[in-house]
Order: sequence, then structure tokens, then C-alpha cells
Amino acid sequence: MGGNNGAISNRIRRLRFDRNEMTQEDLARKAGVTRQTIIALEAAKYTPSLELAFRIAKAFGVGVEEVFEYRA
Amino acid sequence: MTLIEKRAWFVFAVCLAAAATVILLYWFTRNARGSMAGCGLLGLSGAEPLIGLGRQRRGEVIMDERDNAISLYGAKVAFGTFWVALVAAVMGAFWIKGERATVTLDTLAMALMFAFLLIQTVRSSTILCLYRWQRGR
Repeated sequence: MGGNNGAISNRIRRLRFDRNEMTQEDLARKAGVTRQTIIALEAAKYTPSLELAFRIAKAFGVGVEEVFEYRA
Repeated sequence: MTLIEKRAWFVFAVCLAAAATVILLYWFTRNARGSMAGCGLLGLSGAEPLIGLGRQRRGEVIMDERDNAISLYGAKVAFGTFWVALVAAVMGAFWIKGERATVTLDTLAMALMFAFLLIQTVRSSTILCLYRWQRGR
């Protein structure tokens, strides 16, 4: 449930690091989710909805394709 | 720990307490109908929505789409399990007692209590398992 079987990967951890090591709590607040959801996303255990993907990309100030990548 | 996880732990603990009470009462009294009084503890699970009210008032994000998805999945698994158990119980009763057998109100009440216990236990344990799995443990 919610797993992505490796088809969708993300660079959330890398992007957080690049932004002065933004904490998971900060990102969660900006994206309007719980910190546990950010943890699950970074561990690739959860695939976000399209809306959440856009909110996370907006929190980093980049496009959604810079955060998430789909491999068919 | 998320709010939904805390609530699931609460419901799971209530279910365990109720089941343990029923078993203990039956152990001491050997009265199946009387021991079902232990299921009265299941009423405590109605307090589930009260957990986390303080955090809600402070305006924190306490629940998001992942929590909703996990809750929904837990409910689906619980009702699926209930349906299988119901069909198995009915078929078993037909097979053992025959199609013309009757069911007493006692039996019906006990079956309903066990059904509620089953649903709540499976729902809460599924939610807890999913959270644990998503944390990668």
C-alpha cells in the first residue's frame, strides 16, 4: 500500500541537504504533511499524490520533475 | 508516532484487554454468556477520536493523505476479514447444525460482539503493521 516498487524515485534528501540541511520538520510544515510522511517518502516507502508532489516541489522552489523521477 | 498510529495502539490495547477479560471470566465462571460481559470494555474504543484533540487545537498537521490512505486500507482489510469470517461461520453452522436449526438471541449477541472485536483488532493491527513497514523496519 502506497509503495512504488522502485518505479518512482525522489531526490528529497539531496534537495534538503542542498538547502542548508533543511530539516524534515521544516519541509513537512511547508508541504503541509507530517514529518513521518517525509520519512516514508525519503525511504521510498510511499508514493505521494500528484498534489503533494507539487507541494513538495514548491517547498524546494523547483519543478516537480527535479524532485521526482519516473522510470518505466 | 502519528496520531492515527496512537489511536490504533489505543484501540488495539482495548481489544486485547476485552479479549483477556472474556477469557479470564470464562476461566473462572465457566459461563460463556456471563463472560461476554468483558466485551463491554470494547465501548472504550469509542474514545478513539478524543486522542490528539489538543494537537488539533494548536493547528499542527496531525493527519495527511498517507494517514488517510493507511486508515482506509486498515478498514478494507478489517471488513474483508469480517466478511470471510461471517461466511465461514454461516456455512459452518449450516454444515454442523443443518439448515433448519435456530439461533438464540444469546448466540446472536455473542456473535455480534466477537464480530466487533474481530473488526477492531484487525483494523488496528493492520494500521500498526503498515506504519511499521513504511518506516522501513
